[in-house]
Amino acid sequence: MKIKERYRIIGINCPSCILSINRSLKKLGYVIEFNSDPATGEAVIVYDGDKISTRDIVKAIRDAGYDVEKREILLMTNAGENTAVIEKALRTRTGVIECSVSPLTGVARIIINPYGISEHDIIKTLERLGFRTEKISREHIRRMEEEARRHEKRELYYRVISFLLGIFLVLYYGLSLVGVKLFLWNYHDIIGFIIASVVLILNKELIIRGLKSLFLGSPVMDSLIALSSTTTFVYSVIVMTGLISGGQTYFEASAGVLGFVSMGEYIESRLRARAGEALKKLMELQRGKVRVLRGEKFVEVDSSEVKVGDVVEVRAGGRILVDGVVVEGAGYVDESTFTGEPLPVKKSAERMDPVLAGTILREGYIRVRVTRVGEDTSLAHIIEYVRNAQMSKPEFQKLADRIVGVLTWLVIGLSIATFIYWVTIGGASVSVAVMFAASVLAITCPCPLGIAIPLVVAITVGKAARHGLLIRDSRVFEKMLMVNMFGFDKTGTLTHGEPVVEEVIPADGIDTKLFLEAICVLEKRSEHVLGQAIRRYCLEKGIEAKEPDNYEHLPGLGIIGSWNGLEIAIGSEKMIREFGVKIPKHIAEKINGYRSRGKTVVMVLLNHSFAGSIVIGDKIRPESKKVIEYIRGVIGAKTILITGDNRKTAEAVARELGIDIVRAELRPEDKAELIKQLISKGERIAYVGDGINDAIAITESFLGIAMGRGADIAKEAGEVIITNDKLTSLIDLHKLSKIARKKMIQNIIWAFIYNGTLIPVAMGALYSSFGIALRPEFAALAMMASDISVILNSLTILRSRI
Amino acid sequence: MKEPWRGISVVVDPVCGMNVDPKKTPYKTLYKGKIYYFCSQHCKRMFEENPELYLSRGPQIEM
Repeated sequence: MKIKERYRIIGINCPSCILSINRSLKKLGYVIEFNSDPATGEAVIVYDGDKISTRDIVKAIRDAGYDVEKREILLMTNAGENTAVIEKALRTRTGVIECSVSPLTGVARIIINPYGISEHDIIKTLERLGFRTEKISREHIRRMEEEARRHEKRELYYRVISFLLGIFLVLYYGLSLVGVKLFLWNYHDIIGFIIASVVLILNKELIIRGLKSLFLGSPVMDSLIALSSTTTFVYSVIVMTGLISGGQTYFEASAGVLGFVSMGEYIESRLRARAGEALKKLMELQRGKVRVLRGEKFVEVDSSEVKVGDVVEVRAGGRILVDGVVVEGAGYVDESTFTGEPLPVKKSAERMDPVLAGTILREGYIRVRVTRVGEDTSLAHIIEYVRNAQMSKPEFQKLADRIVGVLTWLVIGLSIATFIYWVTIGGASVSVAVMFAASVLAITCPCPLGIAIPLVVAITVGKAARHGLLIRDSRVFEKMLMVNMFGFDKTGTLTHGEPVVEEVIPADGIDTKLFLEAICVLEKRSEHVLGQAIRRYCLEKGIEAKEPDNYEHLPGLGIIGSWNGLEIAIGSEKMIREFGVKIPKHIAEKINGYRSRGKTVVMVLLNHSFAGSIVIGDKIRPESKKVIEYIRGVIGAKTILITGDNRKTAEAVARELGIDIVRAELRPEDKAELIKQLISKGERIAYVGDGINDAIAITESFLGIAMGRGADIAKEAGEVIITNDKLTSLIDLHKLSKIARKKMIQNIIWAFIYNGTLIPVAMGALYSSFGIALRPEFAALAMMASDISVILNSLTILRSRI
Repeated sequence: MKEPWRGISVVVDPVCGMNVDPKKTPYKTLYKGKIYYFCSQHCKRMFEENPELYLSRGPQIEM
C-alpha cells in the first residue's frame, strides 16, 4: 500500500542536507518519492506502507543527522499485562514514531509525527482495542515514580521488622523447649498472637500475591508460604479462643516463616541494582560548555542553552555535546563509545557528515550545525530506552517457584485427604479432623524456605566478586544455566578493542633494525591512534627512539619527517601514490589479503622508496577461543557474533574462534532488534558487549553482560559486569551458577526434610495407637533443625573450588 | 622547495603567492612527494583540483 506522509524535518537549511537525507532514505528501500523544501523543512515522503512505517522513515532521517518535528502523548491506560498488544498495534501505525507502555504503571508514552496522525486517532485506536485511556502530565508520572520509590523503601523496613519479630518469636518458643522460659511466658499465646498479627499485616502483599496465583491455578513459592502462614494463624486463633479443644497454638510457625521469607526478600532487593538514577547521570556526557556562533563571534555558553539550528565549533580534543551535521572543516571523530570501533572516523563538511553528542573530536576542526539537543539526541534516546526496558524486563519462572509450586498441590491434597480420612474412616469428630488437616498445612511449609535460595545467591555473589564478576541481579545464576545461545559483540569484547601492531614487514633488502628505528623515531611525535599503537610496539621491543629532526603531519595521509639524513614517510596508500611510488605487486597482493581480514596496513617510505609495511589490527583476546570452546563443548549452547563491523572482518574472527553464526554491519538498534527477534523465536540469549551501541542489546537480551572497561551505559544495562575485563570470567560464572543451583536444590530439600518427617504425625498417624498429635515442640524443633541445616549448607559454597 | 621544512620559516602559497608559515597553517597537501602549504582552504582546494597548472604557471595573485 502506497502511503503519502507529510513531515517537518528539523535542522535542514540547504540542498545538500536534503541530498544526505535522500541517501539515507534510499538505503532503507521502499521509499518511492521524497520531496522537501529546505527553507521550511516541510517534506512529503511516499513509501510502501506494507514494508516500512513512520518509525523506519524517522530512523533514517535521524541516521542522516537530522530530526523531525514530533509530539509526545502520555496516556494512562488500563493495559495491565497486555502492554504488548498496544505496542504492537501502534508501532507500525502510520504517523507513530515510538510507543512504549510501562507494565508497572500502565503509562503509555507515544511519540507521533503530528503531520501524520492526530492524538485523537491514537486514542480512538486504543479505545477500539478495548482500552480505557486518560491523558496525564509528565509531572504526574514523576509523582507516581516517586511514590513507587517511597513504597519500595517502606517495604524494605517492613522486611527487616518482620525478620526481627519472626526470629524473636521462634527463639521465644524454641528456648522454652530447653527449659528457658523467658519473660511473660504465661502469656505466650497472647504475645504470639500479637506478634504474628503484626508480621502478617507487614507481609500482606506477599500473602495476597501468593493466594492470587494459587487461585489462578499456578501456585508459586509465595503461595505455599501464604497458605501455610494464614492457616496456621487462623487455626491458632481458633484454638486460643477455645473453639477447638485440645489443640495447640503455632503462632511462632506463622511469624517464623514470614520472617525468614522477609530476610530472603531483603537480601534479594539489596542485590538488585538501582537503575534509573545512575542512568540519568550518563546525560552528563552531553553537558558542558559549548562555543556557539552568536552574530559574528563564537561565545561560550552552557550546552543546555544551545538550540536547534545554532552553529557550534569543536576543536581537536573537544567533546561534542550536541547532535548535528558538519558544516565547515573536517576532522577525525572518536565514536568508540558508541560503536566500539577504536579508529576515529573522518567527518567532513563536504559530505555533511552527522556527528553525535558524547563523541570526541580527536583531530581537526569542525563547525557543527545543531540538529538535536537535550532529550532528542541519540545518546539521550539510548539512555531513555535502556531505562524503560530495564524497568519492564519480563519475569521468568524461578527454580524455587517450579519446585515449590508442585509441592503446594501435594500439601493441599494431603490436607484434604487427612480431613476426609478422619471424618469418615478415622471416625473422629469434625473439630479433630480440622485440627489434623490444619496441622498438615502448618507443618509442611518449612521456615527456611524463604532464605533457601537468597542465601545461596548472596554467598555466590560474594564469591563471584572474587572472580571479577559483579552480579547486579539475584536471578543471574539461574538464568545463566537456562541460556542456550551466547551473543558476542566483536570489538572490545572478543578483541582488545584497541589497535595493536600485529606484524612489521620490511621490504626485501631493508635492514629490519634500521626500519624499526626509523618508524619509532617518526611516530614519537604522532598523536594518531595508529601512532599510539606503533609507539606501544616500540616500547615493547625496547627501542629507545630519538626525536626526529623534522616532523610534519598531513591529516588523512600520514606523517613525514627526517632523522639522521634519512627521509621517512609513514602513511596510507594514498600518500604513497602522492609520492609517485609503486608498491611491488606481490606485496600489494599480500596487503589486500590483510585488508580483507579487516586489518589496517600502513606503508613506510625511506628516502622516497618503498621500505615496508606495518599491519595493525584489533587483536583477538587470547582467552576468547577458550571461552567459545567452553560454551560449545561444556554448556552446549550456540554462539553468535553480532557486530557493527564489516562482514569480511567479522567472518574472519568467527572462523578463527569457531563461532556458529555471524551477523555483521549492524547499527546499534539493529543489534537490539536482532536480539528481540531471536528471543521471540524462543532463544534464551545472553549478550556480552561493551559499547553504548551494545547497551540496548544488553538490556533486550535474556541475560545482559557488560565488559568492565566498557562504556558506563553498557555497564548500567548489564545484569552482570565482568569487572576484571577477562572473558574467561564467563566460564567462572557458569561454574558458579552450577554450584549455586546445586545448593539451592539441596537447601530446599533440607528445608523440607525435618518437617517432612512430621507430616505423618500431623496427619494423625500416631493418634489412634499412641494418642500423639502434632505438638508445638515438634514443630519448633523441626524449624530450628532445618534452619541450621540450610545455613550451614549454604556456607559450604565458600569452600567450593572453581 | 625540495625539503620545505629544512630551515625555512616561511614558504609561498603556490596558488595565491602569499607567505605562509608551515608551522602554523593547517592547510597543507602532498603532491609528488612534496608538501605544499596554503593560506586557506580555498587555495588548497584549487591546488588539489589542478596541481600541475599552479606548479607550471607559478603563484598568481587573484584579482
